[in-house]
Amino acid sequence: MYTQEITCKHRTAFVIAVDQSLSMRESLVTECGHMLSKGDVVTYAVNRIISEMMARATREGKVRDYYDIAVMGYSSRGVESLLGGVRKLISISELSDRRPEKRSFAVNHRTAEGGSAVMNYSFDMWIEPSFDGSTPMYEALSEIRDLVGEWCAEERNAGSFPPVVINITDGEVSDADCDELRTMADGIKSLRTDDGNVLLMNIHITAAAGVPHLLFPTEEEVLSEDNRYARLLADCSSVMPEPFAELIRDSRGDSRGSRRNYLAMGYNSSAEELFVMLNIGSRSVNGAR
Amino acid sequence: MLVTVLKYVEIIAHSRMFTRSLGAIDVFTDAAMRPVFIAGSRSVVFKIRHGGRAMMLKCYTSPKPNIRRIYGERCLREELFIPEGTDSGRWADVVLCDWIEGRTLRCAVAEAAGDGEALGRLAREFDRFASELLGAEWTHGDLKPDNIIVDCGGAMHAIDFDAVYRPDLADLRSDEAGTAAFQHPLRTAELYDDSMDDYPAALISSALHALAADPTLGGRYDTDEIMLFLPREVCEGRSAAFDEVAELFSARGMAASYRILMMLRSPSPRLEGLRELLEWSPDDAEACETPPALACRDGLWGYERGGRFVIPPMFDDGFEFSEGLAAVRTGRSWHFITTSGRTVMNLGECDAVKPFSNGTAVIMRGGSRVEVDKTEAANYPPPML
Repeated sequence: MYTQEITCKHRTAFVIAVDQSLSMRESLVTECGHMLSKGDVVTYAVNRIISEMMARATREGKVRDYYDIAVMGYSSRGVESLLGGVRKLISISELSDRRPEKRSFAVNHRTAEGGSAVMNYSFDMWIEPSFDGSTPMYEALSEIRDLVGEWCAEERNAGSFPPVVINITDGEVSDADCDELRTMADGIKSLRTDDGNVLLMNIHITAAAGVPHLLFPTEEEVLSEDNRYARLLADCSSVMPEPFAELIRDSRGDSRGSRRNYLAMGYNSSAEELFVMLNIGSRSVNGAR
Repeated sequence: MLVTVLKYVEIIAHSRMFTRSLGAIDVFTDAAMRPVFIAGSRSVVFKIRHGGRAMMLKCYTSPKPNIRRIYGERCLREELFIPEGTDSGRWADVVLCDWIEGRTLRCAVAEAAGDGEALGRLAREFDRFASELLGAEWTHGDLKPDNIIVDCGGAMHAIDFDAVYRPDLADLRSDEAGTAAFQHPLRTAELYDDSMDDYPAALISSALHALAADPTLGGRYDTDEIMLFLPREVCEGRSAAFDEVAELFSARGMAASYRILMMLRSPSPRLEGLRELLEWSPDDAEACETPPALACRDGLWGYERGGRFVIPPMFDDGFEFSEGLAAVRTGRSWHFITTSGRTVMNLGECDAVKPFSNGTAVIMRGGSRVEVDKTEAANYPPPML
């Protein structure tokens, strides 16, 4: 299971759900010292991972159809595709034909010799930040369940690496209770291809510094937090399959070869942890060859 | 260390500040001035100018623990500084090797699509390349068309040695299983020995010879991500491409290719006798007045002289040479071959075939007796190759 190589014939799907509620306007300080809203940080991370996946899918100058991608925003405006267009799942090659606006920012980095240097980063704005009202996460997951269900039901996707759904939020669901949310998450996790069940990853980000945080935690680590919301996120998240374990161990600093079941979740995650999780979630050991 | 492709692109663009010994990396760019790079599943390769020549700089996007031992001096230890935040970062090893100018075998096959002669040249060159590779002291470990460069002279070169096996690396625990589309279904990361290239070599050789013999196969079966055959389907006996190509090789009397193709159904990734078949060519036969003698090995018939096979055991059935020709069967089809092993007459399916006598040979087909004259060879055309 979870071993199918990603090819044009066996493409996979990535669905990213982005909380765009008003609380995402809250500011945080990134590792590079920038003061940004949580929404801006998430937007940057999602834009960056889309461009990264495009780079990974490029062969001989052409972007190959290794991935179908959807980015769904949820707020008081409802649930909407942030990539625009009629279809929500868009092939990476189709996306690469677009010419999104470019933005740039400068970061002061330490150099190899210990000095410092300013680097300009330019990135494509595949999605734009937006904030409005409440957090209809249930409705968003419901739409994603249908979307991913349809994708899995397509005959050509039967043998593919299963879709990965990544939900990024900073708060609690406003349109369902915890049990309803668990049931919805279970519905997504129960979808499958011949290569395994859909992976549902939940990333909770925070603006607070110095608070306890969890990065791909084990069940025991979640329980030791004694936090109701962390518990809920854990219940709604998949267990990361073995092909991802080495990358997770490396990102957590665990010893190589240690055998643990890691949950597909982050709690009180920083901007950097968000990107690490997106990076790992968008890979498979047999990724695009 | 987990590093994105984009991060490496950015660092290479500002490399003067982030290298230990390479200084400012002069990276090749495309027409839009973007750096030329190739991203794989675990690494990204840049084409750079270094020391007055083109080199490839390989940077790893996920942990690859054995590269120092695999690449030796070509691994530049802690060469690139990967900045994290404003005041920290980590050092990353990179690999610096000669850049081989050319196109991948996959591109070469795509460019030659429909051109039997060009595909035939690729097939013969691949056999030469693969037989050398199988005789080398190292084993590539991830042989596939994307990892073979065809240079402007047509010669083939292997690239990407992350999965390499050498006797001095035998104690390593590999984390590579090769690309499934070219590997025996039993290939895992645990299988780490000198047999790793057998199956992909047999598969690619079979596919290239098949495409050369019948270029229309490329339009009916995938040659983009796989090469006609999916190993799992072949081993499970449900590959339509395999069945069609087996029929093609049998009908054309392409005995060596037929026997290599049959190896793709081997229960083991180690394919005994593969190199002998890849190396063999009737063009290389030594001239000799005495015809070689029929001999059998492991249930297959070949011809030997002085105790050595000069035509490898690759026929399902065969007769001694008579009047310079021998009747042999490949699969369901009978043929006559010369003493060098070249197929000169294809007889198709027959109930029985008798050797030549006084210039004619008798064959039985569908209950009828037919006499074949050597001068009628044009009626029984040999393979086009």
